[in-house]
Amino acid sequence: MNERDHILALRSIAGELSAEESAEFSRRREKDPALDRACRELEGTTRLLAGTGHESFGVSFADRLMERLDDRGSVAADGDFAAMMTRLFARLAPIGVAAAVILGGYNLVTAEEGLTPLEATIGLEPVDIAESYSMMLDEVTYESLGTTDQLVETE
Amino acid sequence: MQRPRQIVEAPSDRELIERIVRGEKRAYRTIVERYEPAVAATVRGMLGSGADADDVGQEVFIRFYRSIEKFRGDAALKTYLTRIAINLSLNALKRRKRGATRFVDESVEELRLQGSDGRDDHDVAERQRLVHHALARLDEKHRAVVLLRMIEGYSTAETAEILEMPQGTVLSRLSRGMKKMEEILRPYVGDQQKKEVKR
Repeated sequence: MNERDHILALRSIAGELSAEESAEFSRRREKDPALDRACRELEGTTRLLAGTGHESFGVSFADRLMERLDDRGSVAADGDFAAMMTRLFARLAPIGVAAAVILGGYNLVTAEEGLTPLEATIGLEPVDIAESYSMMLDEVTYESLGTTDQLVETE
Repeated sequence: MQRPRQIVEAPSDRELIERIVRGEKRAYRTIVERYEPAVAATVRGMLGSGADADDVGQEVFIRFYRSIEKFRGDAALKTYLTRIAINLSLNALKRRKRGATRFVDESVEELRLQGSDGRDDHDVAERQRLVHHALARLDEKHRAVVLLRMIEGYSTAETAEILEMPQGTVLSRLSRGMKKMEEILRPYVGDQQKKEVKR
């Protein structure tokens, strides 16, 4: 059976043919035994399929679902909090960026000579490792010796 | 004298939805109980009876619950839920493919031999098993159409609405899907017809 006739047969079984189409199709079936036999086979398969749908997920489906919905209530609350934080961030982020630009500009204008633009904008002098170690050692020595007044008293 | 019994009509879907939107969660249970059979038929028809079918079934109702305020009622609720069920089932099938999970590949012939003891009480379950194993051998697009149109009994127009495709496409896919079903089920259809003749 070609696809066109197969579709006609399927529509005929479902009662979706118009009266004219139905009459015409019946006439063709009477004249063509092969078509009639194919239609009967299709009807057999259709009968086999009818009523084989599952009707339930099993007992307590609704109970389990309602429990999950209750749990989802707290998830929804978490979702609301996350959404609130996102909105807050979206409002504060431009203010933060504007403040950073103003401070960077101020640093750049008031920077000492000899700094690269990046160092000037950040506002920190470059420090190499040896220098930072010596600064740390100075502090440690100073703290271990005590304040200037104590040093004077000791002397 | 006996008082005439009052007939209490079940609340309509629209009434239930309004109650749920107003915060009456209990009303949702009625919706779930009312439409579980339709959703179960769709999801289990598409996925078989695995554990993920139950999860997908629950997800259908959870999705609807979370967007219930957006439901405008343009389509019947059953159609709307079936559409969600089809979409989530298709997603689950994609996940299965990624996880290389397959349907249990029992041949229809084996099933036929296992279940052909002729007892009537086994007949429906046996047919159900056969049909669903045959369905599982169709590709998703044909399976969805055959399931909705031939097993769940939606009309061509309704099937087209659920699957959001033209009726011509539904009929063409239905024809191809049914040819494959006929081929797979042919031995069993013969048996079934013999049984009917005996009766």
